[in-house]
Amino acid sequence: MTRHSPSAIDGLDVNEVKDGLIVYDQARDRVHYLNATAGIVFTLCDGQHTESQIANVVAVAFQLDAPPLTEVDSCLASFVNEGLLR
Amino acid sequence: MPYEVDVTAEDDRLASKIAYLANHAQQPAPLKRRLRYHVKGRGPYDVFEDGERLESVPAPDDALVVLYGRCYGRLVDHLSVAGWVPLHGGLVTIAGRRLLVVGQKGVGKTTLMLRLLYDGHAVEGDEMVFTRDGAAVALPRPFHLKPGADVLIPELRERFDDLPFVLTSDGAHVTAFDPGAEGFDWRLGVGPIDGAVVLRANHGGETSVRPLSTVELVQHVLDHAFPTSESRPMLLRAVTALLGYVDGIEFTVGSVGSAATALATFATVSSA
Repeated sequence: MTRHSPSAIDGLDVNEVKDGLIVYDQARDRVHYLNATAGIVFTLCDGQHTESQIANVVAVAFQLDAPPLTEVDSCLASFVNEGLLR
Repeated sequence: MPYEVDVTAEDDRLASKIAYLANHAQQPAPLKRRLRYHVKGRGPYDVFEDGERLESVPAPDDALVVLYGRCYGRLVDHLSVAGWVPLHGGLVTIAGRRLLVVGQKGVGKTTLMLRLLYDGHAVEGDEMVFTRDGAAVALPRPFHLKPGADVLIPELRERFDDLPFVLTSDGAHVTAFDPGAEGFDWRLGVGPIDGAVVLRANHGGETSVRPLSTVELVQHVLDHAFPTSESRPMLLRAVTALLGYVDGIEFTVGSVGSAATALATFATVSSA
């Protein structure tokens, strides 16, 4: 499975809250609670953004000095483990 | 809440059971229908609804079970069909801020709500709140108090033994406290909330507070939501619509007095 331009699986119920996302995977009957950072990363998992582009967006959103590539990679890995990405 | 319910009984022994059921909450919806229940006999009892016999039962407590199921069960079903989702919690307005109060069974939620009521705050309910499309409304039901509530709330002491009560099937003694009947201006509202409080027990210890992220808040509420027949997506949408953009705090409750004071202070400061 490639994460070059990660893409969320179909059929997820995504609910936005003030500081994150509540994502329900009906096929597995699991609820995922994503904080603000994970929420931004997940929202950009639309098949159109590379990992480095996602990291750049996170850097701008949180006014970081450098794109958090390691953290974004770790976040994406957890999404893969949870079955949220294709 | 569209029903007004009248309950009468031939047997005077049922008077306290009927009082246990009654609530005098002023409710926002116009009256839709009036229901009349009558319990005939002195044992066994025939329970009638609008002149039609529902059931024959042997004992006064059995009649109460039938009446409770018809009244409150019907209300919950009506709300469920209309898309309202039940949550385990109370509602109170302090300093103009309407707060949802949730917590595990036994944390002291009802006692805290009672303390807030006696402290002059507008408590709408202590046990169940319904939500739909970002609005919340409390179940119009008297507060159910455990033995010892009058020790924690001194204002109750003179009245406690005169309040209606039942013994549940597992032997528990439950006292019904109807704020309207006790002289409080008990009004229910339908609308959004301004904040939410998650209670944790620390009885006899310190009272403390920490802020919650909205994601944490939603998770807490879902963890303590009633088991429901609604679909999980429906429940999630309802809870996120209600809580998605409000502030949340976690309150660790030491004594009920300190918790009520701390909560009132928090709400007042937050609204300033």
